[in-house]
Amino acid sequence: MRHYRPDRRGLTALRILLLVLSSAIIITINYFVPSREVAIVIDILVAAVVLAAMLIYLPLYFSSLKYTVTDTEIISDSGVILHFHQSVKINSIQYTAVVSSPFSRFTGLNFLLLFVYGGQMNLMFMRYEDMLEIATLAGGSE
Amino acid sequence: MKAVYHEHPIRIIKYSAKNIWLLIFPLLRGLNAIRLDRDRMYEWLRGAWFDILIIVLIIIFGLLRWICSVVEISSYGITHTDGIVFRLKKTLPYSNLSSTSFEYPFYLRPFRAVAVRCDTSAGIFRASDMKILVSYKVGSELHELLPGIKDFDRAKKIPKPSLISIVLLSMFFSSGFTGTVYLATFFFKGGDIAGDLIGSYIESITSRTALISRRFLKTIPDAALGIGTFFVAAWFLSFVINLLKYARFSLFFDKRFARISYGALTKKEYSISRSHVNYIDLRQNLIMKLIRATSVNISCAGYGNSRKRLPILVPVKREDRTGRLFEKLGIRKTEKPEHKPVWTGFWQYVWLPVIISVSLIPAYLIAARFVPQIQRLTIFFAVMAEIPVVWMIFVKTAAFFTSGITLYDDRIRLSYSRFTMFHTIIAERSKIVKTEIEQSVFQKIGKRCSLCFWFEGESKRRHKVRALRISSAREILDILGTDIRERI
Repeated sequence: MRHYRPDRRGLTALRILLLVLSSAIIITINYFVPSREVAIVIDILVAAVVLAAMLIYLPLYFSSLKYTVTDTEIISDSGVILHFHQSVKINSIQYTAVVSSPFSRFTGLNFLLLFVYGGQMNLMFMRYEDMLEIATLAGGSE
Repeated sequence: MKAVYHEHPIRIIKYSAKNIWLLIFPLLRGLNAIRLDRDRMYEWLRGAWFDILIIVLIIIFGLLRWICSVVEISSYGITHTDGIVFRLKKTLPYSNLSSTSFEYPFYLRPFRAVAVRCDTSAGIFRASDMKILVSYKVGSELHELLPGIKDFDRAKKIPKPSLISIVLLSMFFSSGFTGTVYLATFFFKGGDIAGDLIGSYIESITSRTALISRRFLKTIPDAALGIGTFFVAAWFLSFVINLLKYARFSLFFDKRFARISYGALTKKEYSISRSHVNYIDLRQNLIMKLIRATSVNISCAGYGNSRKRLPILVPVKREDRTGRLFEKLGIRKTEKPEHKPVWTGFWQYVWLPVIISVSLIPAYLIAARFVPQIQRLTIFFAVMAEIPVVWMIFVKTAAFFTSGITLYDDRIRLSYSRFTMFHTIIAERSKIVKTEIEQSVFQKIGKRCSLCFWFEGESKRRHKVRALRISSAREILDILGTDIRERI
């Protein structure tokens, strides 16, 4: 049995992405919305949501992520408000999909999708090496 | 061994179309200009370079997506890598491929492009697991590399179905043949009666109004005729499409694979892994049952997945001529089911159409008594409503006599009916994923029950055999080795 934790660099990457995205939204709003007051209210709302996600939700979410691989199963634990514990039998995995981003070895934005009979299981924000290791185990490559 | 390919350049158009949302920026700019100053509209028009730039960007995105879309074939499986920033790398091992298909649509022929789909039994949706568009050259190379029948000389070939077989298949499975005939009759005849009745009623009120209304009311039978013709035309169109779709049907198979191809305008070639076939489904409607004809369908991920296509293995064939074919496919033909519905369960089959049929008579009598002016129309409606209900009684009676379960070798054979269609499912017992016993209070008293089965596959379909004796159900469940037999 082996346990895997998400790559914490993924949290930093997500925070940066959120900052960039929220800045773009705020700039667009200020450019297109004619009323100054309305624009300020929307800006504050966007900033509040983004700050809450960056400082509260995402750290809690990353702490909840845990993956366990046994000889027969892959188990995933996740969730902040609702906790999910999913397991799939390795021999029921039909195919895999690996989602990676530029510099994903450093950003931690690596995802492994396991497609099984009747559904799929997603392993999020994995270390690049961990992702490839599980993908190989799950039959995703030679 | 590893071969790497790009998709067909025609794919750039599809990838570009996905970025059409980028046009929202010129649109916002335009709205902004209109709101601020009408005179600046001219200036905005002069600024069309920005819009052109966006369109160029969209095409560049499409081109980049195409460059980044790479297909790799190795001795282990097929891999498709897609995406510019976020790269999605999908690997489908050959051992798990249930089917692959090569589609040659007529509109892609000038570009010499072929759509290739690969499917596994994974997922809950019927969408393909991998869909790529490649050139004929790459397509023929993929044909060689992907698993399937390689030596057609040694493969068994099912004789090509006759033209009448394809015509019958297209006729029976084109948007409900009997339903269309019924609906067309309903509107043709009903429109005339309604027009006559309303016309004579208005005429009786005042001759002056009648003169105006007569002309106006002519539109009622015309509209009904139009709707009736629409149904016939829609069915005929569906019939012609099906005829073109399933023309040139051919089937080859060896020990591991089956190769099915059909289509006049759009040619489709399927390669099916026989170990991934969930079950065989012999389908009949009442007319087919009476003329002892059947169509053989299969459940296999990737084959006949869309609602527009039927998962056909053999188009309509006379039952007495299926013996040798079934032998080749490894199906043992049994005439009568081993475990049949019990006589006391007949009502369970026919109760709904019988109740509707009987209640239509008092409904007609009440309507005729209280609104005698429209008696002709009500009797027409009553007769037209009675026809499908009586049809259903015949269907369900036939279902009662032909339903049942047989267990032989390592297989299970279920015969049952769903709505107006008769199904005979033949599957390996290992493909059963769920079993259910259904028992109402009345069934408990009558010592009967219904057995439901679910098989492996993307679509979770229930196969229900009604009114079995409890002792039969226990025997079946005992053989299948499930503990739920103790619950009844």
